[in-house]
Amino acid sequence: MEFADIFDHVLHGFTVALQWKNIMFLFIGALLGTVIGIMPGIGSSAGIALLLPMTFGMDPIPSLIMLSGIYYGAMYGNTASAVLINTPGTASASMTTVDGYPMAKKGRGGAALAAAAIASFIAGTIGIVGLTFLSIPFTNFALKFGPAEYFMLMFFAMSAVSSLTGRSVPKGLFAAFLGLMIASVGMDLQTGMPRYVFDIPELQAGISFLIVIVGAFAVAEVLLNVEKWFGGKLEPIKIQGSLYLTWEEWKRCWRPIIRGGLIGFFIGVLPGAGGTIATVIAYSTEQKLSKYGHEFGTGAIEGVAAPEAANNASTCGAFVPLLTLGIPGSGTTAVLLGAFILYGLEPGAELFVTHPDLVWGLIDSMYIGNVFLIIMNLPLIGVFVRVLYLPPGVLLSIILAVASVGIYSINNNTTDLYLLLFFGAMGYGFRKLQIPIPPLILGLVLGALMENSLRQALIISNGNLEVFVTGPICITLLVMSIAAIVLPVIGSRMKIGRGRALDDE
Amino acid sequence: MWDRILGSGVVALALGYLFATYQLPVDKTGDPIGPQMFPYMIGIGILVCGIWILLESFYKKQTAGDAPSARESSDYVKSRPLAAIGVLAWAATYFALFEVLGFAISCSIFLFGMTSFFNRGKWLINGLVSVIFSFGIFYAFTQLLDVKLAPGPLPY
Repeated sequence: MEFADIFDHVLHGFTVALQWKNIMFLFIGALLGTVIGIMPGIGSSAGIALLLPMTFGMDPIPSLIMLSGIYYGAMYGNTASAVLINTPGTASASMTTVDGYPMAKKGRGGAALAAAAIASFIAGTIGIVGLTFLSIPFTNFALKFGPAEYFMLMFFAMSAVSSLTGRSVPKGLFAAFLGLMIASVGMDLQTGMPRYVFDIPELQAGISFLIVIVGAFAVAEVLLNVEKWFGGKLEPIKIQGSLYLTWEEWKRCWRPIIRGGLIGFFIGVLPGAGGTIATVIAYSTEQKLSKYGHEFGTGAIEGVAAPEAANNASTCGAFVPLLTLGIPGSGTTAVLLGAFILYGLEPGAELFVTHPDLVWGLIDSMYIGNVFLIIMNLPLIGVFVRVLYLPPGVLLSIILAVASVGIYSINNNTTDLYLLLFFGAMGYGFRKLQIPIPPLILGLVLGALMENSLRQALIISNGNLEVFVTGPICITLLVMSIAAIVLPVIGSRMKIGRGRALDDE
Repeated sequence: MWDRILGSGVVALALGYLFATYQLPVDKTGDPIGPQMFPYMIGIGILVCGIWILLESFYKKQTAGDAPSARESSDYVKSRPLAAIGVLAWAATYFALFEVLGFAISCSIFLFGMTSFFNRGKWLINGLVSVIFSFGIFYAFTQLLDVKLAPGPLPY
């Protein structure tokens, strides 16, 4: 496909993205993303999960534009709490606290927020351009995939996410297998036979992944925040200093922003790595390259700009495998994949052919969303940070109430509500035992697709398992899967990656 | 210690799942692979993870003192499982009343109970937030979005 074709698609995408209804839901998504990002304790996964049941009746295009807006919008909003209360709004703003909070304490909170917003905008745009131009080559590549290749690709995505999002490889893998196990409950789609329903009629249709996601993310986060509430309230620092950068600050920032954007985008494309790892790499790269390296950790503006650029670009990078291959590389993109599936859509090369309006409308909406977000997060940030002053007790209670409404409205039965509590308690236990949640969601969302690919591949090969180790794509994916599992184990033996944060985004 | 309990639990879960898979009726009509193969793979995967977690817990014990304790990290929050259990129990009570009293009333009671504890002393604000939120959501869902929510004694 030529450059001109991509240009045509982009132009067509804008005609979709600029429809008033889509603009309105994009604005709502950006707004909710900013607010969810600012609020510590509720990440983008939980935010999207909470809203997902309520978007059932909507058209898929505005709904997916809104839900995606929440994802990348949260990457803007998460800075404010990192800078002003030293608590990242989402896990991927953890590195921003290192220099952002000391800047705020020195009365330069305004400059930190400005650097973060500008970095997010520039890097976000770099990421969207990357997504636009990588989509076509990726879809062309995806056309070579048969069921065996798809199975191996999903196996690789799960191996990578399992081994990279937690502190322990077996715990991550266990979470992924548990997700697959939960997905196997209910009617077997090929033979129509019930599995693991134990004569409970409510389990015949399987366990809705929405219940698990809302429970494991939103309810569990409420329970964890209740513990924090007992630990005392964090008082925000007032935004001091002007919300723009001096020429000197801009000169120090622009290179880290570009580098952070590129690092973030390419790490975002890789399954498993995610925003937090991107920010750590961007931060340490700048620390090594900067002539102000000694200032890092005490309020260096590059230390805010680089990770903020990286986490925004990484969200755009994560859309590349999600849209072109149907493979989520993180917890939040797994939730987004779930949203596609709810609408009967299967992301991948075919989606670009069957629903170009949706795909290109969604991609182009990100360019516009980024403009909304810089307005919300630069001149209007003073309005949004008031969220930090809301009593956490009220906020937590409302999150639980919203979760209950959303889950009840799926099937109108209270069994789902009790399941919600069960999975909330499970998510809480997982966090205490340091078992990462994203692999669980990935297993849950990919379970049916994976089993389908496995069975199709084996039917085609007459039951010969060699089909999974035949052909260059399968072999490469198998080697990458083994490397994804083995390398972190070797790394931890060599004390590499110690203290890796749990990345739930 | 917790990892050892977890590892043992995971092994037990895997064995239970494998047993349940073994019990599944086999019908390969139109599908030579059958509904058991994928679950067997999952069960074996969980079993391997359980054993691995157990082995890791023994290895960790031998190298204890090497890794920084969770309590030393800056984001450490003291565990208060009783608080979590309390919230879950209150939510379970709310769910038990969900269809009896209807969403709007049961949610108002739930929210008022929660906010009274976590936002103490502000009775009026808590009461207003609880009632306005619950009835507002009920109205929005049932009247505007056409989504059914349990009405209870309310005439909807």
